[in-house]
Amino acid sequence: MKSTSGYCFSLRSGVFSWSSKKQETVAQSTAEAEFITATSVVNQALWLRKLFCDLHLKQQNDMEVFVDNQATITIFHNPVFHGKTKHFKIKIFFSREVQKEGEVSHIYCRSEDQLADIFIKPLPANKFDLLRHRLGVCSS
Amino acid sequence: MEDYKAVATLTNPKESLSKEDDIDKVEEGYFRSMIGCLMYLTATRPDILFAVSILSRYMHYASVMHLKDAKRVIRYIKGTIDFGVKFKKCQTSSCWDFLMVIRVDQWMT
Repeated sequence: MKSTSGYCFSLRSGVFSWSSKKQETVAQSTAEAEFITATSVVNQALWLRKLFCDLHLKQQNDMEVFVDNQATITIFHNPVFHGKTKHFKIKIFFSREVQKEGEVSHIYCRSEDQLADIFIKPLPANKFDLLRHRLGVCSS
Repeated sequence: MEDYKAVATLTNPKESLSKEDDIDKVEEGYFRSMIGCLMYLTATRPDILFAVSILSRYMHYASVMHLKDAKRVIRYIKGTIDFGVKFKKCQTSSCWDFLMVIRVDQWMT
């Protein structure tokens, strides 16, 4: 059983880049699954920053990433060797390096406030409508 | 399909798709082209992305159940045909205040 990664990037009122993909590796914990997602998000974030720089719209401060898992944020901030992370592939630690350089910063957000929920699981009608509205999807 | 009634939601959260052997299969080419069309639409409609990505996992083994779900997505689109991502004018100067969200969860496939 593999997890699904989902993310979106937004410019205030609407999202402009989104993804929902089945992960390539089997994650052994929620934190690991989130960490894998965080890595793919960082890759996309770096590309977007580069793209906006080329368009002379350089983003001055770091990009904020909202994650709803405390453990993932702890792994990002704390380089201490941890039993739960010892099997992580080296390549997914790339995102830590990017964070250290100040390109992105990870912020905790509650599960209820998580916008990307719409990309990873089937939702009840009311929650779906709410998230769809928050994505900026509406009638013209 | 023009007579289909529109539905409010894409999927039923209580039902999960699975690869079952005893249900009738549908023609692969038909299902594939249907998913192909829906995938094209995900470029402007993030709300259907998840449902389409789940359905696309059964392209090689589509049964009548999967076809029914794919048709449900089309019925949903019928009800929301004029929807799209709306960008409003930004009030403050720092427009590049990115918000980015990630989330991952287990989902049986």
